[in-house]
Amino acid sequence: MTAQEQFTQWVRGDVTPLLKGRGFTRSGQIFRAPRGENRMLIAFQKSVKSSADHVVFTATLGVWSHRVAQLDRPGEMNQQPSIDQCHWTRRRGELLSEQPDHWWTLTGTVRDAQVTQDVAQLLTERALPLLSQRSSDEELRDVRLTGNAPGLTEFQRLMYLSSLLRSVGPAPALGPVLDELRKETAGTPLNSIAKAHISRLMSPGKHECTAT
Amino acid sequence: MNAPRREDLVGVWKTDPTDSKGIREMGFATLEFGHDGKLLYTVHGRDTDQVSVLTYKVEDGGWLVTDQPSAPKLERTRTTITDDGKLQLEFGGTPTRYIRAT
Repeated sequence: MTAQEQFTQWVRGDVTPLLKGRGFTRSGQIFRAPRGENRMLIAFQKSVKSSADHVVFTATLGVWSHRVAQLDRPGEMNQQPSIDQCHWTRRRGELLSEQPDHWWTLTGTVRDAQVTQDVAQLLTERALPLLSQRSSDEELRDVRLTGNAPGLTEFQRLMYLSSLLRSVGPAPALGPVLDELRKETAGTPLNSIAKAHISRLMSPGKHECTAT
Repeated sequence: MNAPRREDLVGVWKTDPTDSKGIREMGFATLEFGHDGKLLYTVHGRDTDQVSVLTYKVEDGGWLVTDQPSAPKLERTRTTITDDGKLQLEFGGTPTRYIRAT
């Protein structure tokens, strides 16, 4: 059995039972669980440094917002979003030490039991509580409002935040964020993207704010 | 991946239809790089297009430097030509790909 096959078997045999008990379903190496209409994701991603002898991998957490997706790209709604489609993500390393890249290595030896233990501990003690905490639109909005958005540029933060404010309010906060977005992008190619985004947000028929 | 020179960019580029992440975050766009250093950046909205009229130059290492005369602000964007001839720009932190239209 190659290391790649062992990795697949490890995900099925060791990780799936742990996450299935928490409401997640598996598709390949991605686990998804609903929270209302939103989706919580845990994706195990292999590094290009993997070989036939060993698999180097990491885990990324994600939250996908149904309302933001519906607002931004209604023609591309997908109830099985990928990690790239998520509106909030965290790498394994960011959960541990604020370092973006931390990797595990599976080699097909007895030492792999330690990897399983590390993964289980990370999932139960850090990842699952954080996902649960971040998976509502209101929580996604609040974390963006603080300006604390690791891994995102200011442009991306303002784009997501404005979509969230349009979806869940509070409505009075939207105008200042759109002004900030215009100011941030003025004089740059991003200005056209921001204008198209604002036009889409403000067009009739879009979700109205439901919270205050 | 290659760092482009200015003459590599001149012409019209459109969003790569297979770049789903770029489309989702940045929308469909057309870039027209002129011989005269002008860049028209058009984002195609559902109802209307949004156009930015910019100037551009290309610095060593493939950095695209843009400015807008009506609202001056220099912006440096990492730019590469992929092995299959697509233009990749990292506008706003999201790598987006474009295919040559002319």
